[in-house]
Parts: sequence; structure tokens; C-alpha cells
Amino acid sequence: MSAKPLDEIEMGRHVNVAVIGGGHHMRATLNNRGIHVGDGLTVLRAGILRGPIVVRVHGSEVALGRHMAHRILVEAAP
Amino acid sequence: MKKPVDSEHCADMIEASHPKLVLVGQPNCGKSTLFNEVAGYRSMASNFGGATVEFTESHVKIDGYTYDLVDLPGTYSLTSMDEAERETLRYLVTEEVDAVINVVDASLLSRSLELTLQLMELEIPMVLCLNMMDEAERKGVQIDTGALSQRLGMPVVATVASRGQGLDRLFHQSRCAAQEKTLPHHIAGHQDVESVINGLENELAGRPLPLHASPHLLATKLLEEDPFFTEILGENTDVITDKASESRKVLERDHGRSAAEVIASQRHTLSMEIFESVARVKRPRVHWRDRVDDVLMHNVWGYVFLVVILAAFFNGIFKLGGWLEGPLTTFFEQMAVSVTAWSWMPGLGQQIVIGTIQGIGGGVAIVIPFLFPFLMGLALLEDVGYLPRVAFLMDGLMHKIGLHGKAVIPAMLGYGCNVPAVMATRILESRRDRFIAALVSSLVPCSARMTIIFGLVGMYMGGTAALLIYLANFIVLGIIGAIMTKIMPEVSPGMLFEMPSYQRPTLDKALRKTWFRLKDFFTIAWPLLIAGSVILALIEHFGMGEAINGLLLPITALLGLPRVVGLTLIFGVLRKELSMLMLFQALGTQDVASVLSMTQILTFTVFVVFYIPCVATIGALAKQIKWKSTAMVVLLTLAIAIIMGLLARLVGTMIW
Repeated sequence: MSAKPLDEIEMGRHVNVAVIGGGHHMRATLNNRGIHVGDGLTVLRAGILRGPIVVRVHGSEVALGRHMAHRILVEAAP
Repeated sequence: MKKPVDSEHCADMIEASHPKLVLVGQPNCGKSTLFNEVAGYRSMASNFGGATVEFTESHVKIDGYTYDLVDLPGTYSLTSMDEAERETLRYLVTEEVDAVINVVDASLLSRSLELTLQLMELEIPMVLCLNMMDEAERKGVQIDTGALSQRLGMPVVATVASRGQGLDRLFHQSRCAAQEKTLPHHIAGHQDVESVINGLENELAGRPLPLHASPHLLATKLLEEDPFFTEILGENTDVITDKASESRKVLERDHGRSAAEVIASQRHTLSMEIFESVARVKRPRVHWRDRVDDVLMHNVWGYVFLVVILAAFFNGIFKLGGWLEGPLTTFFEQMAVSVTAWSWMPGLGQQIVIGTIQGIGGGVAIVIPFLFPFLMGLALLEDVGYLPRVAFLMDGLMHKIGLHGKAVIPAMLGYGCNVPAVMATRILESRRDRFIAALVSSLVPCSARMTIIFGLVGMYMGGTAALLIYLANFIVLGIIGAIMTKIMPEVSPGMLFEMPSYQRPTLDKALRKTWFRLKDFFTIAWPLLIAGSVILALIEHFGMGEAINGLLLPITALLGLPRVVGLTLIFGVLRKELSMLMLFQALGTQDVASVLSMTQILTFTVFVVFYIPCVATIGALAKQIKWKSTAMVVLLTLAIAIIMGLLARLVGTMIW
């Protein structure tokens, strides 16, 4: 699988963060919540009406708005 | 197991000194819970990040020793990205601090260590509090505290703050650290990054600095281009600024990324490496709480439960409130009537006393029956951890009105009282979001307006009609939000929040939170309510009512309402529920339907639901979004109320 935006990943899949788009602010915000390039994420659920994506990362569950999720490119975890 | 950094031998400390200990930690790490456990009811713990923006300070006595304990806002890192983080950073580099207690959610150690590493650069005595150890165990995270302590060069104390476990030892260790001034290790990163930082550090050393920060921290911050530090240092230190940008270029050239990125990723690597050397992660035990979300956050069932839970919640409060309100109102009315019998007091004096009693009584009749149960119920929902789930479910819908899921909290609070609702908009990150949320919250019909909706429309047109008013209000909120989004497009990169594990709520924690929010009502709303009532009494006493009715004639005539209604609208700005009571007075009867037509009753109610927020809410708005935006909210709500009033008049003439 080549890199895909996080909001296009099926529920239950394990993926690794490949690229964090957006600016410095977005990267820093994600880093603060424990999401970095190379980290493994599990996609837990997605809200309807383009609601948030919930991922498990380093043992915590984080909800990301669609805009943000779209700018995170992920690839299948090895 | 390695021998931890531990100081058991400082017990005979001079009791006279009150070391200043500062709690620093990421949001939701149990920091405020810890603070409340030792300090009593002063800080608001929340199961939703970012609850505390202001810090709380308290003298606490533990084991016979007194401490000056400060609870700083939760912060993910020491960069100055948002208000809470800036506040924490500012405090740490400008105040005299004896020791930092870094509170960490042990189940999230790998992530939390990044903040720990940054705090260590402050070069202040430190203790690591590994909190929520029970949660960590459940998640299968095992931590060798001795090894961690060795590695960081500071005491590490395992605690479960919510049950008071480990706190005595935590404070003992903190006292020792403060007394002996033992500094944590300096943990160096990559050689080449470190040498660039050292180079800049040497440049800074020997210069008088306006902050308590170590040159190492300052150098790092300048390389990261942290606005807080560049502003402070930028003014008369051109040499340093030049040197800093030179060093940044070196890092950028060698690593192909911005200096801030290089430093951040180095910190991440270090944290992961420390975490892996001291912790083992086993398979987590699957708990029933992990399954709950499959239902409560389900794309269909989640909404079914949301509606059921909220309906039960609001219903319960309205029932309870209605039951309690009657006797309270009667009590204060009788008290006011008895004042008129005081023949020794001149009429003006009597009016002022009556106004004061009405103001106090009005407050009591809102707080006890409605606001307290409402806030208490909401606090319980919040402590269980349900509100972030509501935010998740509502996010898609809220985006349609230009807000994200988090804004449901102020909006829901609004149904109790707009004052705490407006104050709660501080949990939103951007000024734009706060403005829209404040506008929306002040249009939500609060419990005072509820009494009008049920007392007029509910009374004469039935409960269904009253509920339709709520529905109409809800739709209008959506439209307003959608229009505001067109005018002020969303700029924030979007929402990001944690889903905390479900927790068993405790009564005293919920009471603390309720009290914290009621304080906004007591300090902002109530004094204004009383002042408003006195002004009303004076208007009445000096017979200025007629002049005001004349002034408001354009509005009353436009809406097809009798001229005498004008004054009641002014009363409504001072206290919403008064507009109905004064309507009875102005019309000279409680049986409104004998004087007003159904259309007029509907129009009046709709107008009152939407127009200008009460003085207390205006006060809260001014505090939260400043006067200019407040004026905009006032004008906007007035315009909306006139449009809705006209619509109601139109609908009324079509039906009746």
C-alpha cells in the first residue's frame, strides 16, 4: 500500500505515519498528543457526516477532526 | 533493580520554611485530582483536557509540613502554543519555584516523557509523579521506577491520586528535593545537535538574563524560535538573535529540516529510548469499559443513546426544578410584600429594599431549582467521560455550523444558565471559535427563559407548542452558525482531543466542579441581577415606565404588541424571567390570554427567547470575548429577535 490519507483508512487497520502535512503548528500539536512520523496507529472508528477519526496511539485514544486526519499520510504497518 | 535516586534522610527539615511546589503535567494526567486530594475544593479537575487555564495556589499541610502548592494549567509541552501553555511557561521561568512535581499518566509514559525532558532543562529540583498506576497496569504497562529514577536523576514516586495512594511519599520526596536542591541529570541528545546548542549557550552565558531559565533552555528555545522567548530576548540582544539564526541555519543545513523539527524529533527519540529501557508493555486486559464505546460511539446506537441520555437528563432537571421553584418564589414574594408594611421607611427606601429582595430571590429561584441540579448532572456526565463522546458524535453536525465537537459543552451549559456557558467557551482554541460559540451559547434558552416558554406558550398553547419553540431555537442556532461560518471561515487546523477512559464519578469531585462553575454565577450574574432589580424598582418609583414604553414603541408596534409591553422588555434584559412577571403587572392580570391574542403571546415569547442576553450574560461576554464583540452579540441577537418575532406574528396570523 502506498501512502494514503488517514481519513481513507478502514476501521481496525494498523498503519504507520508516513508524512505529517500542514505547518509547524499542526505537526507540533500532533507531536504533543504522541503522534509522530513513524509511529503506529490503529484506526478505531470514524464519525458520520465527516465526523472525527479515532485512533489508538501509544496506548491512548485520540480523536482527530477530518481536516487534520486528511493531512496525515499513512502506510500499512509492516 | 537499580537503586533509585531517593532521599530518605532529610526528614528533620526546618519546619519554618514553606517550600513552593509546582504541579506540572499534561492535560488529563490527574494533576487537578491530586491537587484537590491534598488542598480541598479549589481546583477543577476535568475528564476533558484544557479545563484549567488559570492556575490555583494553596497552602497545604501534609504529614505536619506546610507547602505552598501551585496547580498550573495542563500543558503538553513547554512551547508557547496556546494560552494554557504560555501561562505555565511564563510561571516557570519568572517565579521562584523550589521544586517541580511533574505529574504523569503512567499509562502514557512514552508520550509524557517529552514534557519531562523539557522540564528537566529548567534546572529546578524535580520529582516525577507516576500517577494513575492502576490504569497503567490495566493497559499492561509495567514500569521499573528505580531504573527510571536512575536514568532521569530524580525521585520517581508511583501514585493513584484519586485514591490518595502514594501522596505522602510524593510530598516527602518533593520536600527533600527542594531542600537539597538536587538537580535532575542533563540528558544529552545527538552530538551535533548538542554542540550547536552549546555554542549558542556559551554566547548567552555571562549575560544578565531577565528570566530564571538556564542558558541551555534559552538556547534551545531560541533555536526552536519559540515566540515567548524570542520576544523577551529579541529587544536589546541583537547579537544573540543573529547568532541564533546562524545556529538554526547550521541545523537546517545538516539535517534538511527546520531547527524546531530537528529538536522536536530528537526529544521524541530520547523519550522513546528511555521508555523502552524502563518499561515493558504486555497485552492489555480487555475491560468492559473498552466495549462500551462500541455502543455509545456507534454510528446509529450512539445517537439513540445520546438522545435518550439527554432527554432523561433535561426532563429530570425540569421536573425537579418546577417542583422546587414554586415554594421558593412564594417565599421571596411574601418577604417583599411584608416590606410594604414598614411604615417607618419612606417609599423610595422600601422600593430599594424590595428590589434587593427580588434580586436575591430571583437568583435563589434559578440556582437552587435549576442551575445546581443542571451543573451537577453535567459534571457527573463529564466525570464519567461521556462528554468527549458527545463531542465525537456531534462533531460532524457542529462543523455544519462552523464549530467543532468541543463546542457542545458551552452550548449544553447554556440550557442551564448562559453565564457559565459563556465562561466555558474558554476551552476552545481560537478567538473565532470562542466568538461563535459565545454567540450561540447566549442564544440558547436558559432556565430563566424556560420558565417563560412554559409559563406562556406552554400554558396557553400546550407542551408541544413549547417544545416547538425549543426546536425553532435549535434550527435558528444552526442557521446563525452556518452564516457565521460564511462570514468568518474556519481557520483552525481542526479538532484534536483525547478520549479518556470511562471513570467512576465521585460525588465530591462533581460537587467541586459544580461549585467552580456556580462561582461564575455568584460573582458575575448575581450582583448584576440584584443591581438590575434595584434599578427596576427605581424606574417604577419615579414613574419612568411610560417614557420607556414610548421609546420602545417602534419595536412593540412592529411586532403588533401593546404599548405597555415595552417596559417588560427592558426588565427582561435585566433578568429574563422578569419579563413575564412584569407582563402580568403591566397587563394587570395573570390571565394573559384575556388581554393578549394568541398571536401576541407567541410573538412576545419568541422575541423574549432570542433578544439581547441578560446583563449577567453581557458581563460574562465582556469578560470572555471583550466589549467590542459583546456589542456585536447584543446587536445581532436583537436583530435575530425582531426577525423571529415577525415570523411568529406571521405564523400566528396564519393559524388563528
